[in-house]
Amino acid sequence: MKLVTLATSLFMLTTTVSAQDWRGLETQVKCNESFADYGTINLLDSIGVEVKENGSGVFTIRKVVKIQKESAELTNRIIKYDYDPLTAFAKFTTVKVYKNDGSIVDLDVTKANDYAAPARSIYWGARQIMIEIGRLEPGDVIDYTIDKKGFTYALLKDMPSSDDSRFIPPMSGQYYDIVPFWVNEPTVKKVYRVAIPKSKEVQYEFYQGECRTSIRQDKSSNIFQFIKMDILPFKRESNMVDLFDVAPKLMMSTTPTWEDKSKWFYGVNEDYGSFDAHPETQKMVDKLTKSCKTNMEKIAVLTHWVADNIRYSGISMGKGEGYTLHNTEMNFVDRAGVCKDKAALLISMLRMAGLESYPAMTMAGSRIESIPADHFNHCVTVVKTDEGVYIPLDPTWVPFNRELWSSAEQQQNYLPGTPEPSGLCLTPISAPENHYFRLNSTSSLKDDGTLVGVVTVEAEGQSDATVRRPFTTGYRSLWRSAMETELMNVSPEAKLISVDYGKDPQDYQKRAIEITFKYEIPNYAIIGDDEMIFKPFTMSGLYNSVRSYLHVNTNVESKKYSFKDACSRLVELKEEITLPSGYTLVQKDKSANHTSGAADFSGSIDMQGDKIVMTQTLALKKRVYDAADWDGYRKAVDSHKSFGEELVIKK
Amino acid sequence: MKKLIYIKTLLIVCLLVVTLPLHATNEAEYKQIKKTYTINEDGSYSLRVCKEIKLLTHKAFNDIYGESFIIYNPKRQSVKINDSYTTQADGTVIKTPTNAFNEVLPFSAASAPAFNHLRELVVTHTGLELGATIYLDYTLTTTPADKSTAYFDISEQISESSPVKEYTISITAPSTTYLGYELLNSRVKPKVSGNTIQWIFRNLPAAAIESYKSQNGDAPRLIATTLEANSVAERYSKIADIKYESLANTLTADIKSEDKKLETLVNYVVRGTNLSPLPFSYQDNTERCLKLVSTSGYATKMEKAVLLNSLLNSVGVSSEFVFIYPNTIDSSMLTYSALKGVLLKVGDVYYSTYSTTPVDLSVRSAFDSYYTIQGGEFEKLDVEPSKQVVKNYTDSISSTANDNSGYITYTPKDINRGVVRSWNMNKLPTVRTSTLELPSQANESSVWNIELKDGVTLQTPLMNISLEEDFGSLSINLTQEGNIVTLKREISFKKQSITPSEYKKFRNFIMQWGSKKGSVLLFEK
Repeated sequence: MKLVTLATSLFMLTTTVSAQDWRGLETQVKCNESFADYGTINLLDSIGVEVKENGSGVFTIRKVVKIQKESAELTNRIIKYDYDPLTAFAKFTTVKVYKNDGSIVDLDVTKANDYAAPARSIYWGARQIMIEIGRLEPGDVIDYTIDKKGFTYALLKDMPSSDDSRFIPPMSGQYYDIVPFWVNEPTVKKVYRVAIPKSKEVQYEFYQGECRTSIRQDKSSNIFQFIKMDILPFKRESNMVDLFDVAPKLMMSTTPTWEDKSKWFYGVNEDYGSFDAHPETQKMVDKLTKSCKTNMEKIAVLTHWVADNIRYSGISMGKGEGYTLHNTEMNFVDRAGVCKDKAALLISMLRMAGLESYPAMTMAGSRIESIPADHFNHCVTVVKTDEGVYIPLDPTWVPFNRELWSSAEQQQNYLPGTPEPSGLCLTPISAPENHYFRLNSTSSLKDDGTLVGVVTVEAEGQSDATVRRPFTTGYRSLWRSAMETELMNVSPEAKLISVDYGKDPQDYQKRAIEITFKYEIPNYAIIGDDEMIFKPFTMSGLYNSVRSYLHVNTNVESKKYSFKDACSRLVELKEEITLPSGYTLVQKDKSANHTSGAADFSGSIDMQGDKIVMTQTLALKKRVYDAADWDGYRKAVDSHKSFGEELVIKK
Repeated sequence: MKKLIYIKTLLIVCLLVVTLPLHATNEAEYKQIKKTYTINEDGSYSLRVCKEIKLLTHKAFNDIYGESFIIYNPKRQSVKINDSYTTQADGTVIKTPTNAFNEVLPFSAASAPAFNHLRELVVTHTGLELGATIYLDYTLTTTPADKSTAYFDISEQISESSPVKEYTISITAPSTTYLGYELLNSRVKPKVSGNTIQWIFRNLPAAAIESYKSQNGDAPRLIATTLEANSVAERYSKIADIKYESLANTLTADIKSEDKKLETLVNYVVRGTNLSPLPFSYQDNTERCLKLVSTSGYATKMEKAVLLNSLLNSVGVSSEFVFIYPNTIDSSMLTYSALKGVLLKVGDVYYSTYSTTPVDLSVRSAFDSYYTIQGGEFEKLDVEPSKQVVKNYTDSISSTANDNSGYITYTPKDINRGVVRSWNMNKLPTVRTSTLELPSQANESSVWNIELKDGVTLQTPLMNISLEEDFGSLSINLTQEGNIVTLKREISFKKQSITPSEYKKFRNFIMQWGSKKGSVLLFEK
């Protein structure tokens, strides 16, 4: 026992190191010109972990920061660190400031603040520790160390003592970590060092970059060390995927396979009784499914009910919060919960309706690697269909949305917690036509440049959700003014003569959205003596909020990294503009066609009698694209944009 | 019998006419809000709040009324929840569970160790659904830190985001305690009974969700205080002459010119000190000592003002505090709670603590009053109206300009940089219920003289547009003499408040000013 303690002490000693060991790193900064322009430099950014047999970790976090410029004298006036008291404990152990004048300020760490962190939506008691450094000067160096005990469960990214049992991870005995090796400030040396009992088998991989790796042994542990030197902030590309998908990172786990994780996730919630039946909930299920004729109808009704009626708001169940799904009674009575609780209530309700359903963990925003480290930030539901296959449902992402699984999450990994252990799954690509956005516009241009017309917008899937948003999340009192504002995106002078959005545009389940505007826009065209200039109406800003591809910067010729759009989408525009008597289009007829694995475009514009007729079809086929898709995507989008150029008509 | 049915039907129809519009456009409805202040002899006081709100839409419970937030200072305040529950549509009562009461740090106190003791009690209302009614009853008790903070001072806006059937505020004070009060924007008369004064507001409409609303508010506002008039002025007159020479001298070492010293010190306070966005009242209307403020690197707005004033004093730059209050407030009610902000007057120039660009008092002089302190009392400043901004541009267009099928669309230089265009009023809806407030005074005149070269011709028809309204006038003139095209645009406003009845004309006026007609010219090569 004493031996173990001694080994632990030695390990911590080597990771925390002693005073001013960073002086050599400071010299390196002076020799590296690429560091010269930054206000602050991290001389050392290190994490040392000693993993216990039960899987909990004792962390030593040390950072040495040098202030280089006057502009950065306030950037470190306080140091803050987040932790979740249900599963971890954190405290400052040393904080020293080495002043440029040679003096050393040794701050009293007992005066650090430890308090409930500011919060909205999730109130699980997340805490912060904070210590005041004050105003610094160029040349000053801060050297601080934080000790942390416990684990962080990443089912929700928002999640931030005497009884050590709370520090034991839910999958007892297992350890994992996800360590970003990219930085926001230039860093001379970044170190991750972990001592893991020899009894545990470890798998790890360093992704998207290289580092210096070593494995050493002491009597009881294997000690893994990863060091990367001279790291500059990662250069981002516009619209690129998450940094976890492109920047250097370390993934490590003692869990052998995702199937093991799936098995555990199934068991932990079944054992807790998260999905136990509840009489009042059963009554609601019976009421909601009374007129359903098929299981698929039941699935739809229950998913939409949970999505719309269980408010996203997290209150803590105490022990187990963050990884245990609240039980049926708590969710139904509270009518509130975070993603895992909404998923849980849906599972319970589906089971009460006679279906087979389980929870699943997913990572919204980035890829999950093959190493079973818990890279999750979201929880959803899977249900077995009549065909015997599981499909994912997401009651958190589909409030007032016609989908059951949000296509804003297509091409996303997830791990079901099913009785027969599952491996990692991937949500499928959703075809563009599932998210069509159509504008059908007929208008007449008057001699004075006024445009008078009718336009109908139709949308489905994710496009429907965006077009419908003023009615589903906007204030009722602003419905009409929201329609006016949409039209004024075309021109501030636009006058809404009438708008027809049906009797109840909130009723998204009834049919896909369809809105018809009648309008008049004085001074739409710039007029000359015998000529006018104007843009096609459908390309003048109407519903640009749906056209997420317009936010993808197509000025760049190539991509180094994968990129993403909000969703796959089909855009169909039809426009007829009747010209004033005697006017004709100056520009020649135009047509374009592009096809590729990423996107297709076809469009034409020509004079037909006294009308200009324009049609466009743009099909964007994915949400997440490979860098190699860029050329096809860009050509299609740029061709589409070119149909928005001003038209000249002349008598 | 037939007559009876007819009357019944008529009554139902009338009832529907009365209730439907409310339900059709509002997310929720407050059945009641009751605020009861009780002031004690020792200067302590309590506030009891009871509110009852019925939820009519999903938005009401998903986005707006799901939580109640009570910010308080545990060092001198305590919160007691008297009752909290939800009555669901079918009458089921859901008591708010204990895990739904959570304390967090208020966001305004984040990153500020000196204010880290503040707390926000978040009450998460459970059991919410369509037709549910939230009921919350709590008491906030305040005990003064010392004699200097033993006062009562509130400024309450009587308005909510949903209509309120009955809103009651009452204040009970010992007969020996001075209590000044003023109710703005309302004709409701108080009822006085013994030591209690009470205001009851009935059928208050929901606060309009509109842009360019009055900063000082159209809704009723109650200001009440036990502070004597000029208490605020007296306190700041005592610290107006404080100096902080050691820091001032360090910051301005080697600087000879007074202007440069001023610039350096303003820069230190505005950019070199982080702002802690804490309302005055959360800090007991006091400031930390100057050394602590400067070494910590963060400060509240008032701390920044006191720091800058003392630094300027220390280097011989004479400065004065300038306090900003809504100009509708009576001069005897210039309290801490009604205070909007503070500036520093250096000669004829006014500095804020958030920008190094001096403040033009005329921008809001129609709505706010500015006070300096003279002999321990507030003295109102006279503010001159803004002057006309005149700009002249010369430009030329030749055959080398970019064209579309031989035509050049030309946007005059800086046309979007004018004062009125900078307001971005390009999406004003047709209907408005609240007063619109212009962000500043505006009186501008711009002339563009454009020389045509290489045979380029003007295609835009010449124009002479003018509009004259009660609130302002504009003119847009396009002329041509030889190869010089001249566009002259002028706009001025006579007032800054546009009432709902004036709004339609105002909207047309603004649209005319922003129209492509008169803003974009067409030329042919």
